[in-house]
Amino acid sequence: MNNSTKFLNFKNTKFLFLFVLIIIPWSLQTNSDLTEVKKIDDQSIGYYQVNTCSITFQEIFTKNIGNNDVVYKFDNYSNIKCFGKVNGLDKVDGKYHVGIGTNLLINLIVQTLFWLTLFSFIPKNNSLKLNNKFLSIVLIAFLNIIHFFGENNFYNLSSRNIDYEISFTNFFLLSLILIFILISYLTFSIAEKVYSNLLIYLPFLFLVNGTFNYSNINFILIVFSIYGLQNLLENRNLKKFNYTYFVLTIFWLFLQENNNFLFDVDKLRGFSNSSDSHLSNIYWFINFLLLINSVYFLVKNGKIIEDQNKFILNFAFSGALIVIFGFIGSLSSAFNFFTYYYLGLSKRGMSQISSIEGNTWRGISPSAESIGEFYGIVLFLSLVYIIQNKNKNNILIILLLAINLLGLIRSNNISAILTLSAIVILYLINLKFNPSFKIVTLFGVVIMPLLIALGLNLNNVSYESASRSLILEGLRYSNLYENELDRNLNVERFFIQENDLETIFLYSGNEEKISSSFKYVLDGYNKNNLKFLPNYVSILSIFSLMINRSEKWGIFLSKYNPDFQEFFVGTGPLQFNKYFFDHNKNNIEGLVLPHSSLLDILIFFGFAGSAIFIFFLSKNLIKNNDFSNPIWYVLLFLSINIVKSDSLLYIPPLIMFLTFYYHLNFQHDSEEKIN
Amino acid sequence: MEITKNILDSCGEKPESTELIDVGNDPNFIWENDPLFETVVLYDVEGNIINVNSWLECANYVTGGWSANIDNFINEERYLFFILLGLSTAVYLFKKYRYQGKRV
Repeated sequence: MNNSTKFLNFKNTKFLFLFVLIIIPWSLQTNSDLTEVKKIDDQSIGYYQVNTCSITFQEIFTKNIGNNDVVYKFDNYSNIKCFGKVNGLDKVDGKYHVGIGTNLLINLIVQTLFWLTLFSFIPKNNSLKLNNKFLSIVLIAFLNIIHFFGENNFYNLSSRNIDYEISFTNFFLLSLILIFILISYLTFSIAEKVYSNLLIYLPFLFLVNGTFNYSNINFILIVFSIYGLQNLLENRNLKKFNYTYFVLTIFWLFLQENNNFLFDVDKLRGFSNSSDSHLSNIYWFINFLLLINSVYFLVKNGKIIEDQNKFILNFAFSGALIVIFGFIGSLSSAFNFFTYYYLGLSKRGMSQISSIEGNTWRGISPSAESIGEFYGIVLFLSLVYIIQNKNKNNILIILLLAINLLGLIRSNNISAILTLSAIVILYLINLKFNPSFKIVTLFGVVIMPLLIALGLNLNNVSYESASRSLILEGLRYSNLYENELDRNLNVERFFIQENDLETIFLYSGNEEKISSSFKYVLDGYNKNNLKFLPNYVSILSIFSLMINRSEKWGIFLSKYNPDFQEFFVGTGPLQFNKYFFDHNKNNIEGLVLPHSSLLDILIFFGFAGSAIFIFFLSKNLIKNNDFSNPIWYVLLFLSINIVKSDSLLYIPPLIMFLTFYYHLNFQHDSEEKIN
Repeated sequence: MEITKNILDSCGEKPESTELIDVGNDPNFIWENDPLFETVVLYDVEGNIINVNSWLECANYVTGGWSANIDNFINEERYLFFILLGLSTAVYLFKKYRYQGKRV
């Protein structure tokens, strides 16, 4: 047998294994006595409530094909024996909700095997070996075990079979430790062979998110932590950053107050701390550090530049698959069930093709904003591909581009659409006229105020009200009018009657009640008025209104209440516990994120971190500006969009952002070296 | 008390002559033997054993967590642990000896 046939056979075996992993767990009948499978209707509800753990998902699905009123849900409270079996049936709003049993340990095994098999499809390159195998495996397994202890509130609520007793007869814990050692070992074995090609397949992270079902652990983080450790232990790059981060970690741990609240991570599952215990903080602080280091390591040792066409094609394929999976998942409950499980989504994909209650259609993505930005990048890169490969047959990329365009339109991310249009125009202008950086910057400085004025005019909003919109929204959600009937009316009345917003503090207790950030903004609005120059709060307010962020940023102001230390260094990465449970926690329902990655960075890393982030990002964009370099446009596009989106709170967009950031930096450095 | 699948599995169908009553936590309640009911052995999670001599007594114990099938109390995590340990040891040994064989 020659090598290519051998390779094909091996590839086919892997496809077969994937197929088995999808079918078998939901079809395995372990009970010897057969229970009749009935069609789901009002009469059979009682039957399925009594006959639990005996009918497999495959059996009930086959019996009810075509029944559009059946919705398959996960039931993580089942034991191992009931995995993949019907654990209950309820009728909710005219739909039959069928609970299918899943179990934490089995999830870890099945999902890891599935993702590892996918991971192994990345072409191997054995030129370099990773070191510290034993240490990496032990550290990663240990980190993930302490995560379970650190976030015990989350797991006690989401799973029934958790047992934290440290004993040699606690086989749950022993199995968990063994599973994590095996996951780390297997992941390391594949990771060391594929790392130089890994980032070329980065776009597929938007498709396969890698979050384990009903847990707050993500497979992608495990993979990347291997490279992160490699960078920390062997390559010693990013030295200054790592030392600073280490000192800050001690600060953050010292500043933590353990309030024992459980933060409902919801769509941030897999990349956000649900607790504020020291153990969970240590887990997330280390993982975040490893993620930053890993992307640096991969960009430095990767081959994106050599394989740029493949990189772009992967973007287009991944985007098209996300759109297609999103549409099929909207139509089929079973497909929706499987995409959630096997793609490791942190939130179930949408069950309708139409938008629900004003929310944009996001398909299988947890966030419409981040997926809109992703489609924007796909479209831009596809256009670059078409221009750079004029002589090739581009039918495939045009088809993929059309599917991605549909995705962008459905995600309704106006900001992404406008920024995409701007960078496409700039790119095309550059191809024809090759303008200088100064001219483009000057053009931007002149055109921005004109666009703002036009926007205000179109929205029929006066300068006066636009400049106070942020404060109005902040007041609406603040705790000043708490428990009052018609609080909205009271806020509006105050706004109309009072020109001097300082009078809000004349009401007794208001100054003490209001958040420190809101007080700062109010003071800024009232006191810093220079002639002929707009107030900085007014500028921010007008800007927030223009990009439809007045409400979200107003909510942020009403909640963000740091003392000096916290304002300066933040609470540490991925820590929302204090922000959500400390100040003004009763007036906002659900997970309302700040809707700006810059504000997220302010919460996590404080003013110092935000300033450093903005400085290095601007430096990278200005120093490495090159209107013929598509990477520069992508980083510019992302930098603009993160101002109004929480994208950096999700693993794939964060990795993508870091990849383009480092890539632009290294590209410039290597060009300088050549010259 | 509702007749569940567990009750039917452990105690069988309810005899027509038996009246379905909820005993609750009455410590003075005395179970009456049913001569037509074949004694059933029930187990609890700690491995305790009890013989029940009427359908109602059986149903009452099953509702309280007992079962005629000891498999229901098997520690599945223990099986999983030893299966994983056995499999990984086997794969490790297989790889090790195959590698050594190649070197020879």
